[in-house]
Formats: sequence, C-alpha cells, structure tokens
Amino acid sequence: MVVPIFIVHDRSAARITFIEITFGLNLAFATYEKFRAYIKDIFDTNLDEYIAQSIASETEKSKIEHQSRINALKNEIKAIGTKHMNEQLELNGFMKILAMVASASCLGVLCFDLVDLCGDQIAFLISPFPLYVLLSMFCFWFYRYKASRIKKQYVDFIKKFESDPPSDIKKGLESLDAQDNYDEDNTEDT
Amino acid sequence: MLTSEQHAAGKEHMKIEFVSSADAVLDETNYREAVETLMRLRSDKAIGNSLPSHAAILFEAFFRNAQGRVRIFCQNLNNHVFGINGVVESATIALNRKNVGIDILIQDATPDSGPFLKFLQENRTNPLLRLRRVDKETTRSAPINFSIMDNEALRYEKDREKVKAFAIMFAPNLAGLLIEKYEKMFAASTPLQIPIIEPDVAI
Repeated sequence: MVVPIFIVHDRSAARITFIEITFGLNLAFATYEKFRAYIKDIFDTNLDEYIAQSIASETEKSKIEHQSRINALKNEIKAIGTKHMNEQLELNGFMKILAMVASASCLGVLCFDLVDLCGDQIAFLISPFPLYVLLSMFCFWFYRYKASRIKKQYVDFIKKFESDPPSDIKKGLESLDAQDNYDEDNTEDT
Repeated sequence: MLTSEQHAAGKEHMKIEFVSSADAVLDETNYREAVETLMRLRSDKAIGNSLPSHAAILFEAFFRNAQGRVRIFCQNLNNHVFGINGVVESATIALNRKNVGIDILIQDATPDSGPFLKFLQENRTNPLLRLRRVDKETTRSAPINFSIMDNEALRYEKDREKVKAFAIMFAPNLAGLLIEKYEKMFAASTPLQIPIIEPDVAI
C-alpha cells in the first residue's frame, strides 16, 4: 500500500524556524567572547607573523648605508600592525553590539508576531556573523597589502633568503655523517 | 696637518658612524621584537640570523624561553655573540630555573675568553650545564654550526665562514633531526675542563 506523503510548505513556519536559528546564532556570537576572539586571532596571527618576518629581515652588508631608511620603513610596517590590531578590536566590539541588537530584534519579531509583516527582510537579522568574517578578512587583506607595499621599498637592500631549511639541514647532517664514516674507516685501516 | 678636505671627510665619517650606531640599536630592537613575536606565535617561517648581534638576540630568546634544554654546537662560543651581557644574563636565568639545562659542544680546545667563559667558570659544578668538545677531527673542522631550543626552535649555520645562518622558532621535525645528530656527537665527545681564573691581585 502506498502512503501518499504531502509536504505542506508553510512559509511562516519556515520563517519562524529561521528566526529561532538566527536568534541562537546571534546570541552565541554576542555572548561567547572566545568564539569572536578565535576569528580575530586567525587574522591577527597571520598579519603579526608577516610583519615579524618582514622586520626580521637582515640588511645586506654592502647596503648598510640604507639602514636608517630601512629602519624607518620597518617602523611603518610595525605601525600598520598596531593599526590593524586596533581596528580589529573596534570591529569586534561593534559586531558584538550588532549581534545583541539582532538577537533582541529576533525576540521582538517573535513577540509581536511581525514575521509576516517583515517578510523576507528578516534575512538581514543573520547578517552580523557573516559581516564580521567578511570585514575582518577585508581588514586583514587591506593592511597586509599596505605592509607588502612598504616592504617592496626596501626589499632590494635586504639579504635575499635563498635557503631551503629542510634540504639545507639534511645535506649538512649527511655531510657530517659522511665525515664520521670517513673517520671510522680510517681508524679501522690504521 | 689636516687639509680642509680631510677634515670634512673625517667629520662626515664620524657622522656616518654615529648614524649607523643609532640605527644598529633600532635594528636590534626591531629584530628582538620580531623574534619574540615569532616565538610567541610558534611560527614555522625561517628568518635570517647571520649577524652576530642578531645571533646574540636569538640565543637570549632561546635561554629565556627554554622549557627543557638548549643545545649548542659551535666552534668556540664566539665572544661577539656569547659575550653580550644579555646572553650571559639570560643563560644565568635559565640555569636558575632548575628545569632548564644547557648543553654545549665546541670544536676548539677552549671557549673564547670573555663574559661567557666567566659564566662557564662560575657554573662549572652545576650539573645542568654540560660543556664538551667533539672528539673526531673531521667534526672539529666541520663548517656547520647549529643550536636547538627544546624540541622546537633552531638556528642553523651552513658554513660559518660565509656567515649565513637562519633560524626557525617552531620546527619540531627539523629540530628532532638535529637533536638526534647532536646527541650522537655529544656521546662521542669529552668533557672540557674549564680552567679557574684566579681573581686579579691588586698591586
């Protein structure tokens, strides 16, 4: 016997479910400091690493007379890192407030039965989380681009990093082993 | 008697020296911050560490951040690197932490004289500090020098004559390879007796 299955597509019910999920997500986003800090850290760490690596570059001995200019440019890169950090903090605070407002709005929409009145516009209530990720990404890429532009100005004066650490170390250790073997062979001969 | 041109050239030379020493300080400050940041972030990116002042900063960071053991394989603990006050101070702090040990393996018969030798003399009975000299003649003349902090950070100098070194703050695999070799060399080495220097007698 075949049981007919009817799926009743109730738009209002779908919207209410959406509002409930949005409320939970916004509340979690506004409440969990660690969660926001985790996203912030991803971008902070990447830029910090890039900046530290740029600052740690060594000036070529023959171009040491450019040291003061290179130092000034490195300081500019450092300032960019600080600026990025401050803006990420501000963005974090702003998005926390926005998520609180959005979760309160979700409650308001449900309490006053405004789901049908608002229609598909309720989709905006979920925006704080993706907006935060997008803005953080944009902020990171913007400052990373600025730092790389400054680094380009002194890249000709610094030592080019030509090493390939893993292969350099392996070759070095192999040569030490070879010397050891040579020593042992010679000892046996004598 | 100096001509006016020589006089002007001398002044210019003094100016350059003054500027470069101020710049060197700024460069060292920046380098120190960068090393500390990379260490905090446990970065696996390699950075240049060829200059003696930069090497000193790195060893300082190694001694300050070590949780277990700092292993050093070098020619003679060059005074330009290890003689810096910051390095000696941080090495002293490291040994005072009780859980941190320092293993030093040198190629020459004696360490370079300077503040670090004094530190070695002061701590000659400390079991946490072990100083040895490699036995094999070929290893004594090997151009490679390297150092490892715990099982994480490393400094590697392919050829000390060319003064081209790099450092990585978090490379457990590479550090493991170096530690393995280091321990073999350490086992096949002889403890080095540090001569006690008598205090200066006032005349």
